[in-house]
Amino acid sequence: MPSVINTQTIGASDLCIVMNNSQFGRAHGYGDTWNSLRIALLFSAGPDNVQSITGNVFRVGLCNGTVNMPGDVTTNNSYGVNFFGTWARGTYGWNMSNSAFRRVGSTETLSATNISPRLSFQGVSRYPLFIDIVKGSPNYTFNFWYHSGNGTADMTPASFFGYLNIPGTYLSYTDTTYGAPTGTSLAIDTATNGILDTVYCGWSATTWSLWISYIAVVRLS
Amino acid sequence: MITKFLRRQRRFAVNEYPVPFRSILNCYDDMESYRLDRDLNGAIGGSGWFTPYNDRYSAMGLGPTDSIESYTSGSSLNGLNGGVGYFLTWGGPYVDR
Repeated sequence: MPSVINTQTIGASDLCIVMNNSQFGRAHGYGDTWNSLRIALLFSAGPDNVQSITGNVFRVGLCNGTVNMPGDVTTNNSYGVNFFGTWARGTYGWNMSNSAFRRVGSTETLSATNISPRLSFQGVSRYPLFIDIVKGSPNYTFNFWYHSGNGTADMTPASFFGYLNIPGTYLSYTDTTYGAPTGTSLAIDTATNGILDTVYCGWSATTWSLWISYIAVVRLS
Repeated sequence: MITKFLRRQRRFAVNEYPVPFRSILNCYDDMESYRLDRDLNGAIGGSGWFTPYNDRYSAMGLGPTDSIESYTSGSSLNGLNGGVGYFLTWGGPYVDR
């Protein structure tokens, strides 16, 4: 069902996009005039989260327009990170498989699975996710900010905002690491399939929701 | 909350440029000649400068952001068009389904 706006229960008066078996895209405004673009989310698991779920997919990245997005029957063009497989909640969050994805038409291509690192996020705190997509010719790659420790620190929107412009190599926050995981490379053909001019998020679970507190785009180069 | 990126593009005054070391010493701006909260762009204070400040958002850095705070709880996301643009704004509203 479509996403709705609701008030976050973790932070005070923090309105969020509540995703539940939904996807959204929004033109980032840069068109194709970028070389490296950061897609930044601050998000958390909803209060309806479950211990374990299989087959759920969470995609974050870029796509071409909003008519045929990665969660539709056919997709024009897309690239980003895909979290999938069995989502198992541990002491500090969920772990799942992940890889870079490219979806064109009805074919989704994944890079090497379980690219290091995995993503964990808490059900009681907001978690940052920065995906710095780097154009290539033809292979695109990404770096990202991930959970690396056992902490449960909540990142506030104000703190998140403060990190947006910091280059990746200088990013540092409690129990998180910024890195360049190997295995993210996939060939992207924008001439044939369209430029990646739209920020995309897709969440397939119907039994629990994902809450997005903040979304931003940064042109790094 | 707004971050502005200073691009300082001022040149030495013509009559001081041929003496490089003296030019550096004579070209400065301690900002004390400006009013509080005025825009930097176009300001031409200081001493020894030939042109005013040319200040604008950088093409790099923070672009469109959305804290979601401008919306009403219970609204459907599809079609919402809030958020803030730094250098440029969002290219359109959310499309959600």
